[in-house]
Amino acid sequence: MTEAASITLARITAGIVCAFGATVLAWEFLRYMTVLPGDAAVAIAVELPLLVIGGWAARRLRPVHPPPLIWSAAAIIWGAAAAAGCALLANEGLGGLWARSAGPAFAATWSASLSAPLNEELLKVCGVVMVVLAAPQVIRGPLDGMIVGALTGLGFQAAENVTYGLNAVALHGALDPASAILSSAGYRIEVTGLGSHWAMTAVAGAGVGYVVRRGRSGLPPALACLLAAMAMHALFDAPYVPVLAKVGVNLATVAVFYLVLRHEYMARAHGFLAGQVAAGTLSSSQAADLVSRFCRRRSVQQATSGTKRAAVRAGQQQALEELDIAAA
Amino acid sequence: MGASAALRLRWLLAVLAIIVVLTGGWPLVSTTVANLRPLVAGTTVTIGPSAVSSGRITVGPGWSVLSSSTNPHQSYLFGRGAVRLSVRYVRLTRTGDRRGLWRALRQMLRLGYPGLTPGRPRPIVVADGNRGLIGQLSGRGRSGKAAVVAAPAAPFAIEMIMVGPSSSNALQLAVGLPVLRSLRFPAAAR
Repeated sequence: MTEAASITLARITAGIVCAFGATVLAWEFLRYMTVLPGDAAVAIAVELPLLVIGGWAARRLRPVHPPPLIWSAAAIIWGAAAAAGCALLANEGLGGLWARSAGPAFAATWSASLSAPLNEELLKVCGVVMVVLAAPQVIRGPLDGMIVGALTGLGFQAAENVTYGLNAVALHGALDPASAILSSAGYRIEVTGLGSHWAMTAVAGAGVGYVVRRGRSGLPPALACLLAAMAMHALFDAPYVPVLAKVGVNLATVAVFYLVLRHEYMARAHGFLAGQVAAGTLSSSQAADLVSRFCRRRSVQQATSGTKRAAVRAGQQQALEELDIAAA
Repeated sequence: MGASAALRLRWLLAVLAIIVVLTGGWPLVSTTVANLRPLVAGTTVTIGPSAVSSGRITVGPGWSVLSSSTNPHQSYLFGRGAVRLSVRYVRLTRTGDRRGLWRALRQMLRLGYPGLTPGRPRPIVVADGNRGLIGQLSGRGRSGKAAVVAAPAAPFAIEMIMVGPSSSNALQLAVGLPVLRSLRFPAAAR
């Protein structure tokens, strides 16, 4: 099989798994959509700002340039459809196993923290791997993996929020479905949102980036990242731990990891650009402009004709490509 | 990763294997463990998130709990032959919620038991003297009873839905009625 054919196969497979996950979710919540269509629409609508603002913020966190929009959207869709739908089946299965073997009381307290970290972290990080397989140029190192992981986790988080909102309708006895949905969404976006799935999968996704950059020798740090993400998830679902402590620990973990990866990336990028300046390939001002979104945009706007603007853009793309290969 | 087509295919297969094992494997393994836990006659179970906010019911002979559909903080699902009894904790947020409980129960039936419609509600008095509403259910070859009772001193209610095939209804559903009537609110008794 050729390289191109294998990429096409990866893309088709990802599409099929996303369609499968979306079907599972739709089937599970079909009754809500038919009995309470307006309330189900509210449950979905309140998550859209989270996706738009969260997606924008995650892409902005990538220094120098954001990941391609289409693959950012693909990561979100994997999280919201493939990972969330498959997790529904996997969690029902493992949760049922806990309830049947250890009893409903044990399962009510511990099932979430014993099932979700394993099932959900694996299914979400599979989305980051699928982006590597379907678009090899998007993830070149741990920082790229972290951003794509955050987007995958964000998609999962939004889909899970919808399911929690609809489940809250039953918990409140269908007395005021819209209020139950809004209350659930408000809590899960405003209170727990900052330390939730986007943070966990960002950490696991960075591990995928290590494998891309280092090959086999990247497997130990990748495993460490995955285990760290599972530990963050176990803490997040653990009983008896205050909510703010869970959110604070997860947010601090991902923030520190991000700052370290960003520092390393920028150090390598500046080193590469210094070499280009020394070799006379770039002027020092061109090198400084290249790492700034604003300066690159200004350079394009300053070009006097459409042809020149296209040439400047192409030159920037070429230079960014080389920068990414060197710095990721 | 990503260097060659063969390597890509290996990773693709690994991803698919993970998905198949998690989504198909856990449900399959789960079915190997019995779901029905028989209960001794007279067993009392507590439904609710805390001692202050909970209800208790007592089952008679022949009842089992369906473990995988039970979360003691929120709901129980009991079985006896073909009859299924769901006992659910309902959180109330407003004082007016109590008046709308029966109307909301109709919505819950549409969500969880499509095709079943409730008849006219009648008053029911449960074991500790609290009053609620009970009504007949029927539709699509099934019949049963639904009852809902609000806690006297806390913002919650207990909703009970008992359903069985219409053919074997009379006797089997009759043995479920004492379970519905056994409801107590322990916090109110203190």
